[in-house]
Amino acid sequence: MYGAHSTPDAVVPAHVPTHLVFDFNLNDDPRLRADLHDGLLALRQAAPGPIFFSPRNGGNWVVTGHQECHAIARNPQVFANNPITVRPELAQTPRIPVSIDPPDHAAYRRVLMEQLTPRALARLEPDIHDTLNDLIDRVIETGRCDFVPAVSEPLPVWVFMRMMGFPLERYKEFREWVGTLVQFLPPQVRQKTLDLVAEMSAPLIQERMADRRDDLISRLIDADIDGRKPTFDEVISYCLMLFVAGLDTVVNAMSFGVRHLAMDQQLQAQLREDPALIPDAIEELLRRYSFANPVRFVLQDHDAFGVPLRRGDVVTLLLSAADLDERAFPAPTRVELHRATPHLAFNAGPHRCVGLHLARMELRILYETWLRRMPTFRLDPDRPWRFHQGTVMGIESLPLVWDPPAR
Amino acid sequence: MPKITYQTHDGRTFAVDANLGQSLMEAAVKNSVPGIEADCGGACACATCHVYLDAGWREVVGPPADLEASMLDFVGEVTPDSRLACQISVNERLEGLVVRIPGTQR
Repeated sequence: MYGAHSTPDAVVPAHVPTHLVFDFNLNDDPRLRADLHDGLLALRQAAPGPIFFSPRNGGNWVVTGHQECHAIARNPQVFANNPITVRPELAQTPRIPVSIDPPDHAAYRRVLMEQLTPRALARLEPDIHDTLNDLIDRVIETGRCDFVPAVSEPLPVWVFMRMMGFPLERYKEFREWVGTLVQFLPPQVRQKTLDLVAEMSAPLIQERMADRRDDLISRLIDADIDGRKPTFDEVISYCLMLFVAGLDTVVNAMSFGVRHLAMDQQLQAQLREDPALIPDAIEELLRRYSFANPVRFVLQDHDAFGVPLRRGDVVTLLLSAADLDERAFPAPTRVELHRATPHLAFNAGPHRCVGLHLARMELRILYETWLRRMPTFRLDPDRPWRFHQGTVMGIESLPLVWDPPAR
Repeated sequence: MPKITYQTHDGRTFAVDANLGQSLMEAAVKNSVPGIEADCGGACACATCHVYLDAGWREVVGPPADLEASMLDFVGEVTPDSRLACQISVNERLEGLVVRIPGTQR
């Protein structure tokens, strides 16, 4: 599948101690084929430590420890998002602001933060409620659905595309494109998809330059980046960012969360009875099933974790494993609503997810509405779920069943 | 060196001798005061150094500038006493300032 397109294995660099070399393929690892997070736990137990080196996908350090991921994410002076100075062959069209390092990064990021505040997002709430209720209406009487195509894919994707001003009729095509962007694929392959997205976005931007609408593309055109307007290419780069970020993240958060509730009848009942617990449940389910695994590039030699990281090394922050680190979260597979340590599902540091208020709002509306309207639901015993590995891990199919409500 | 007192959400108190010109965020982080994340390192681009000025201090400290005010919108539980600690520069008039740190910066 995706493994066939992986960058070939690298020769292990001379500075990597032999005992830290360990085979782990982010795109298709045998340990994760039966279950993603069970597999990540097995990986943590089998690996030589919280930081090891995998020769797969061009060679990269893999970090599975919570405190290590947290520290790296908060150290952009050493761990950069833009590879251009140390690994130029890995550079692609920038996505703004994720591809930009401090100090330029802050001004770009603020533009998005202003559009994604709780107050700015509140006006989307009625639309999200209406869309979700409509999706539920379509399935509730049948007693079964595949939750991903029925709810968790259309809901956040439609909300996002409407917010941006992207053409809704192309949503299936966009979902296919984003599929190639969330694998650890060679830069040329990913670049092809970024080119498609840029090609799609350009006429939309031009239309709005002539005629503003009530959408995010229009607001990006008029944004203030430290006293100046963005260039056309910068608006394209924002669109690339938002494309990747908007189309394959909340989908997965919803899918993993509802899958858990389908398997945990006790928690399902508890949240139905006491919806005030939902905000805590949102966070703990994000922790339990973290799915985004960003990458950093080492700018200067760094030995702080007892492993020799060298300028030019690639580092994968396996946040999906770090949030199962028993040092930070005792009994990590237990869903406990009042854990002390914050999770890394949204990462940490200057690039911490700028869409987190939108994600939380959508998850809250989903859980509240789904639990209020749907009867007790469970996994379909005859149809197993399907999921994929990658830099963003996700669920493709999640068949559920329930007893249709009496008429 | 003005004395700044930080109160955490769970009732602990940290008294810090801050350097003139340091930000309240830097003074906290350098003195291991917990609860101020400062994800962006003081660039006013993350809203994770949120603090509440104690009663009566708003006039002395002054209001946020436009940039900080728009970033404060990103914070969950904002009040008129909310400020981003990275944007407040320590000066002599802040001697005795008390700030309260929220339970979460997330």
